[in-house]
Amino acid sequence: MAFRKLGLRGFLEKNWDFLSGLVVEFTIASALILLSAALCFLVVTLSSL
Amino acid sequence: MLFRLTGGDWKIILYNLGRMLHLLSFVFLLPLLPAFLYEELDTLPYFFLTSGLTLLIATFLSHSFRTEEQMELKHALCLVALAWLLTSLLASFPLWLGKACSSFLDACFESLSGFTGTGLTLAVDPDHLARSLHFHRHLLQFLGDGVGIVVVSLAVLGRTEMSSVLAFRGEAREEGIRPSVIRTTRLIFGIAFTFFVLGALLLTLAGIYEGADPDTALFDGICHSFTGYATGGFSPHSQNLMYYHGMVYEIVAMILAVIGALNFNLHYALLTGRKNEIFKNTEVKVFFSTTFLLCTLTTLFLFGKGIYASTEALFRRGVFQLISAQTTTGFYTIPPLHLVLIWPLSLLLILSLSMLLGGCANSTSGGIKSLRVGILLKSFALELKRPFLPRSAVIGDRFHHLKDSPLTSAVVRGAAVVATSYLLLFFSGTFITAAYGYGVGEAMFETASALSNVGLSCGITHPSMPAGLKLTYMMLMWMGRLEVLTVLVLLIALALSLGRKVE
Repeated sequence: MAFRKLGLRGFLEKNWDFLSGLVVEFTIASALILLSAALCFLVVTLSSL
Repeated sequence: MLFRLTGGDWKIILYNLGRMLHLLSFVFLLPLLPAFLYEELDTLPYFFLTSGLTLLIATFLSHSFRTEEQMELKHALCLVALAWLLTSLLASFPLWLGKACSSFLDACFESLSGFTGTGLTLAVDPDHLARSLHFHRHLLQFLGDGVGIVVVSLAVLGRTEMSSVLAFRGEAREEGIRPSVIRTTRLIFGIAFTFFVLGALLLTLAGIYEGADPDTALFDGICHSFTGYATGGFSPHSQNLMYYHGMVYEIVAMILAVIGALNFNLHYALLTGRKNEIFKNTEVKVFFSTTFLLCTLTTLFLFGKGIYASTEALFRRGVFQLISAQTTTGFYTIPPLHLVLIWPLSLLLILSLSMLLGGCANSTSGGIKSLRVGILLKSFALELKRPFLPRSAVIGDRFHHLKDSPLTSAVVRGAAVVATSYLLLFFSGTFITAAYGYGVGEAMFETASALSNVGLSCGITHPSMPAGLKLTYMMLMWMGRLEVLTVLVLLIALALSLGRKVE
């Protein structure tokens, strides 16, 4: 209903903080896992030398 | 002079408990939805019976102990401790009647493990359990640990805002996000629900990608999202996440668990435009640093022992278990017995340490919490620095948690009290488990898992384990979830009240 009233642009502008916050949270959590994977790779590579 | 709870005090506690149970009687009807959807009509009486019994107790309490007196902190602490126990007891009825567990004690263990977000399970055959009963188990974790239903119900039904504020403190969620408790609970529910929906969507897609049929993927996605965000760890499958045997599913579950382990205040800051908070927050820094450090150690030990040779195996077995332990989720991708039979003892100890450290304060995770660890580490560094400075030097430090705060002795004392009580309980639990004939390493691991509400097991938690140990772990889960002090206040209040009666 609110979406239909505001349109896509208006909806995004109104909820920008919330939506970008969600993206930041998923990015931060993914970064932790990615960095852990990178650490794993580093340990394997260095230990194999 | 110690306060003794009088009859009037108990009246306030029991009256508010009754009001709280009213809401729960409706919550216990929610599994009717999957029961109708999956045509499991034989499970309907279990939920109606549980809801009816809860309503009966709620009505009895709120009518018999009606009072206009205001709640104080001592009432709130006792109320929260009692509410967690009574709710778990009532929630165990569907599990017992539906034969999900082999005895009433096991059903109580299961529901307390669910409600506290622990995830240690005594379910007999989860693979063949009715979906409505699975929904009930998983919903318990989401509402108990993810949302904090005890506080929410007080905020919705409580007569004054103060009652909810005090209950927040009792539930170890002392930092209010907003001045208004109603708005705070709405926010917590909103944040939890948003992440639940997103998690369920991503996990369903990941499940379909890994080869599950859409119906199973959707149900599992909903269940795993409930327990992933709540850092609970229950699963509809006896093999937990091993059932999917896929990296994509494991990564999505890990992301959800990490989000669940972050502070509610941090969620609020990020979702209202204060993105920089994540880079400045002391707690986040400590949480990330300890995770990376323990990840490196885990990988080093596993690779050094030649247990997993490839990076992928190390990541999916070693890192996954570590992140599951650190976020206190309890999902697992290796059989529990591997921890004892294949993994070295040193890793059992590392995982125990990560479970004790836990996630962030004011989140769905358990353990001592990163904020307290950070405060204690900063204080430790200050004490080390002191001998090298002139006697007249005034030394101090600050930490950033939503705002810059000085490291006062009151802050350090608060962190030290909780950490010490956790460690005392940890050693007591380890001693009791070892006294039952288990190895010390296994005893430490299982105790840390129960106390920090994790749910990882090295095989001790099983329907055939001694009843005394089941009761010990139930006590640990209850005390661990309420950060020890709340339960101690209730026990001391009970002891003092009984002592006065004897006099």
